[in-house]
Amino acid sequence: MPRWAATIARCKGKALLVSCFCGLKLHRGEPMHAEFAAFMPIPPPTHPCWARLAAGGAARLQTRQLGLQLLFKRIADPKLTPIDRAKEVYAFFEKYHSILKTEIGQLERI
Amino acid sequence: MNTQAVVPTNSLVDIATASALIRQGVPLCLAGSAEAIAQLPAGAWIAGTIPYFMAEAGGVKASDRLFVTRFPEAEKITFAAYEADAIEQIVPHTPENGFAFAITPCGCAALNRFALEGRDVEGAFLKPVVGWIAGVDLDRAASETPQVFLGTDRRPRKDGFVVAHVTLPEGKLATLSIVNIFQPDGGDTLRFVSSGYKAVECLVNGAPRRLADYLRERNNETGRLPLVGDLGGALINVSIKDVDPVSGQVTFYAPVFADTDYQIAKPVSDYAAAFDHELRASATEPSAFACNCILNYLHGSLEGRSTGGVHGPITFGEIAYQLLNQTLVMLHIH
Repeated sequence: MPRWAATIARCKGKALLVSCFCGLKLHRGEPMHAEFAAFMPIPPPTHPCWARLAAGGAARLQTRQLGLQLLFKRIADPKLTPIDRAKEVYAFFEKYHSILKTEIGQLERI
Repeated sequence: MNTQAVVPTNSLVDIATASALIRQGVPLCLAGSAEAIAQLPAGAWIAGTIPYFMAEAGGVKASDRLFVTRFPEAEKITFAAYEADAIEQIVPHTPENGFAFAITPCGCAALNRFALEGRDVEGAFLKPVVGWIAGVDLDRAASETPQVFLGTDRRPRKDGFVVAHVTLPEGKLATLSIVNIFQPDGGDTLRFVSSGYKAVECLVNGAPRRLADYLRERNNETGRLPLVGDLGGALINVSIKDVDPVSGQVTFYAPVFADTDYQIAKPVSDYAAAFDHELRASATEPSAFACNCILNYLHGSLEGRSTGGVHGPITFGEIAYQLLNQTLVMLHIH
């Protein structure tokens, strides 16, 4: 199973768990509940923030991480599909979430 | 003797000390003159030629010493050499949780390919490639050629990459950062119609111009000030190697990209002070490796002057995901 797919599976499990405790109903495209966010290092791959980043929102995200800056330049390549762009950005946040706290805090506002 | 315990992670040492470490089986990445490297025993190491270093006493040129870098945090390190037609394998061969430390000779075909295509390799930003470009003693530039070496065969290579694939333990992460003392001057925006190491024409604020004429008009025909590109918010320099006043052809030390806006850099009056200032402002984490550009060493008269306590080789180009110019690169392990 690819790493990103495994993360989706893990996230879905956590979403169910949090729903039970908090009485939340999570649907695709809805903003995350703060308590849910606390359980997760980053929003799940289905969260619209990734599509927004891939569709130009990256220009509004403030970061000093060189890798992320250069990745944002790379995904501006018109030859890439929106899905591929979103997947690349998600994979970066998934791997480096522990040092991207400032950036993760901006995802909901992008 | 437990040499690992007494030898710093990044240090300029004599040939005997480097040789002793190699014989003990300590994996090393080395920088030094071809003569110094030729005296090393076979073993687990890679090396590139350069006699300039940022040492504890400041910028120094030394042909009889070697700068050794080791990665005590590593779980495993393997070494490999890649020919120019195989450099796209560097990232796939790098462990998921790790990084590639790469050295390649200045001006070779492998570097040219990497500079143009490296950022497009899948996974390039998840498995960082950090490293530097091998060069020569500038006083012997006419007779020397930049070379890299793989410790297992010790054969000098004038093309290709030598790479240390470093695996980090679970929970550790490698990131790269840069210190760039140059800022865009806030004036004209330059665009290029195609990516590459050479250009005759460019667009200045959208209008076609001969680049050589424009640089002369801006008093930058010597190329002392690089072009500064904005890549996703990162300021990336492209240094000017040569301006041919007859043909109008401008040659760069790294490629310009057609999808990027460039400006000429603002002049810097005191390089060493600018480095100190930028290092304090942006380098807030300790580095596992650092290298700085020979053009900063030369233009900034850094010989004998310290650059913020950062040590490493002074190189003919730097690698942080892609080829960089006139930039200090740092590897961090979190």
